[in-house]
Amino acid sequence: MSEELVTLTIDGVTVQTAPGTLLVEAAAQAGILIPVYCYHPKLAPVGACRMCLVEVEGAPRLIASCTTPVREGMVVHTDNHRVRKAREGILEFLLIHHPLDCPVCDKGGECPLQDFTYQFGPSRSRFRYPKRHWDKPVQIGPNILLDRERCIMCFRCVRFCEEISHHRQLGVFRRGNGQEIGTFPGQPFDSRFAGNTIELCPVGALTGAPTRFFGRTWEIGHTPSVCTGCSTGCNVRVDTRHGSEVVRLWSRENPATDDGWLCDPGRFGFGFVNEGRLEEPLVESGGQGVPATWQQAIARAGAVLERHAQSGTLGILASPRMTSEELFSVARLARTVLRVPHLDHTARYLHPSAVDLREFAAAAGFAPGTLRDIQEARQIITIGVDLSREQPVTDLRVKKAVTQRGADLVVVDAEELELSAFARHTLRWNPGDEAGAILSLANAVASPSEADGLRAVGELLRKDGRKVVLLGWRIGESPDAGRIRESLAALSHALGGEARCVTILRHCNSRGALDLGVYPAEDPVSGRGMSGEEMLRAACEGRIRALWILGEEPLQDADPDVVRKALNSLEALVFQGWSLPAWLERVPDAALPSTTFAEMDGTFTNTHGRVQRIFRAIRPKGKARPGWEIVNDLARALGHPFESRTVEAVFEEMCEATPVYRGLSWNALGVAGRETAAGSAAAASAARG
Amino acid sequence: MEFVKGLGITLKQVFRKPTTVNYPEEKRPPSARARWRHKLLRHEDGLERCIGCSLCAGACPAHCINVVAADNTDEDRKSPGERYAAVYEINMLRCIFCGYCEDACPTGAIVLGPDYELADFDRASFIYGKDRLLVPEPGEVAREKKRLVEREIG
Repeated sequence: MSEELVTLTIDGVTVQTAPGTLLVEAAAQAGILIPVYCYHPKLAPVGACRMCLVEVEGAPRLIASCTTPVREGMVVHTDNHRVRKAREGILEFLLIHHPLDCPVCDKGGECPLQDFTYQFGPSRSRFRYPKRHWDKPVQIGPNILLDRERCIMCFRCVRFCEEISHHRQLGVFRRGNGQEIGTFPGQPFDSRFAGNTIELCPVGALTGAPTRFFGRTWEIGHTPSVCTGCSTGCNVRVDTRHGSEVVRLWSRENPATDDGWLCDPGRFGFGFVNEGRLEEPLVESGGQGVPATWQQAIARAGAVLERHAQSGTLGILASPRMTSEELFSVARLARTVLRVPHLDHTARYLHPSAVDLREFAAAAGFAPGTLRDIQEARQIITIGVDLSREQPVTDLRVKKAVTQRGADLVVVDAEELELSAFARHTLRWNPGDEAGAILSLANAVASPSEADGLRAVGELLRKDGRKVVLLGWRIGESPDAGRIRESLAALSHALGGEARCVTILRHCNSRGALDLGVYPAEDPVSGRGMSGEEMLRAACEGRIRALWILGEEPLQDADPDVVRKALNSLEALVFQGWSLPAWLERVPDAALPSTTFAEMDGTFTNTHGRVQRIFRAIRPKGKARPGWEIVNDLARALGHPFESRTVEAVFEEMCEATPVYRGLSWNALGVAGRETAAGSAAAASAARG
Repeated sequence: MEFVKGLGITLKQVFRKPTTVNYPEEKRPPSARARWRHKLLRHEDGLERCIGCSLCAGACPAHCINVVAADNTDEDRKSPGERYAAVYEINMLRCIFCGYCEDACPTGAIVLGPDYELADFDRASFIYGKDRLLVPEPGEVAREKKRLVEREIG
């Protein structure tokens, strides 16, 4: 191995590194700082800013270390007089038109231009002419403000749009003194990934419109957490002010989930933490929700649950955006104390047997895969999932596999998707005929003598290489599940059994809800429980007379007329959540305020089964409490107190009781999380393969 | 005879002009170097000097300043530039009157003034907002400047 390494000397330090490594990276490996603006490890090098100039012995001029690969025997100086003078000169040039409005700039305090100017720059400018002025700030997209005076022309944003998001909405216009970054006429910068350019921008030229003037960077507290927008489980840093308000979400790279990027809906979708919250318990009195103490509200809710659980008329709907600890507590209360079989986490599944999409895929013969597998795949097939909308950050991963590694993409869906532009083939099904489309794909792969339209895709998928199938959650909800399962089995057989399947679920903890049994399971006493959909219908018919609804998500996609009718037919309703949802037109008997992801500790399980911790970032709003604590109180009110008093204890009990979580430990999860048993089996087999 | 001498001293003191004043009926002008309650100054055109940058809060060793910034609009312009302080609060109970805020301010907006009468009856009223900190009208600036100059000269 060591023969293959290149040996060079940087500032007298001998560095051994792989051939092809850029000088700037080799220096970073040796712990030597070379200031950079245009260089970014995830973007192709351009050498635009000239900040990284170093002296290489034997070279007549200073060279840009971000575009120069290492060479055997190179002797590099990054801190001699010549280099320091060059840096000072470059910084003086960069600052010629810079407005130096750091006090009002959102980047101030975390700005490489500030930092390097302090560290390497001149203390004064010799430029005696008026600075160039632009209108500022210009809103170039729904989330992005552009300040061209601050821009230093590193092109990171433009390169991100070209190389990573492939939404070519930013360009460089004009030359010389008038050079500017801008959008194309009539085309706003409304990419779903626009927010990443705020992080990439090394100065304050691109700042977030929704987070404008969020506070100064040195006033901000940082807490590691997980985005709750979709089921990818992107790691985020929650930025808070005064410990009471979430002001910003920032990316926190985890190669297993997010690859360092965030999407705008996730990045800016934290408003629900700060606003519109249910802040204190409400108890129904005279047709109105009246503020009450926790004791009163728990007593009222407990009475409702107990009465209807005994008469078998209680249904429980828990949100797949609750933490695993909350879901586990709810499921435990339902199964062991209330003995209610009617428990679900959504009211959209039409076909009860299709609840667990991963088992569905496993039954079809697919090995479980992880999001990382996309990176190594030669062939990627998406079935019934619009990644660009449903899991934007996974969409970036697929684009990366296609454009940078030459993977072949096949899109199977009802319509042309954004990703179709990157696909070798797009197969479209007629609405309701998913099974037919998948089956014809399977046949095309299995036998070469298929109809012409599918021959090419068949040949493509018969090629060697790892294959990954991304299966969307809508597939599992189809009423045609039986046939879809058969055609998926045919497809997995045709692909050769080596194919991995990543199931793309909907919410940040849908996987956890499935793992923890928050769905109608076989119950030895009362038969099979009702699904969410069935509960609503049963409520309309009077067979379910009370519902305990936790969170907004279970009913957000259900037919609003059915929801209204069902809620109005109920005798009693207990609601628990962080805000009263729009569909809740009826005053609940008891409304219990729970905390959002920013106000509590816990874990989420992402779509492929990675368990990741969230950490409390701010104080709970009002009297809100974590859901598992509320459930603990309810259990006590019902005369069956749970023993676990801390979230860690709940987590341990959960791991004990849930086979896929066995062996996980609270502290070992750290800030990056761990794959579950099923996920690590996939990872292990990936390592073997 | 010793006691006559003592009485003599007493008598002398009785007719001497007292050094104390009848505060609060009577007030002594504070020293030119007195630095008490803060003020937020304005530009000569009446715009606020404060741009809501929070550098004062950053410099404050007692963490007694809270600034929340907002966007200036052309219709409702509070300060020159993009940003102004929508909320500017100083907790006078926490303040140690060190004057670091004054040092940190890039626009010379916050200055410590001679107003030392800060007693009050409840804690909440020690949190001074812009309503009390911001100087009222444009003419104030010139006077304040004059006062500052005098203070420097002593």
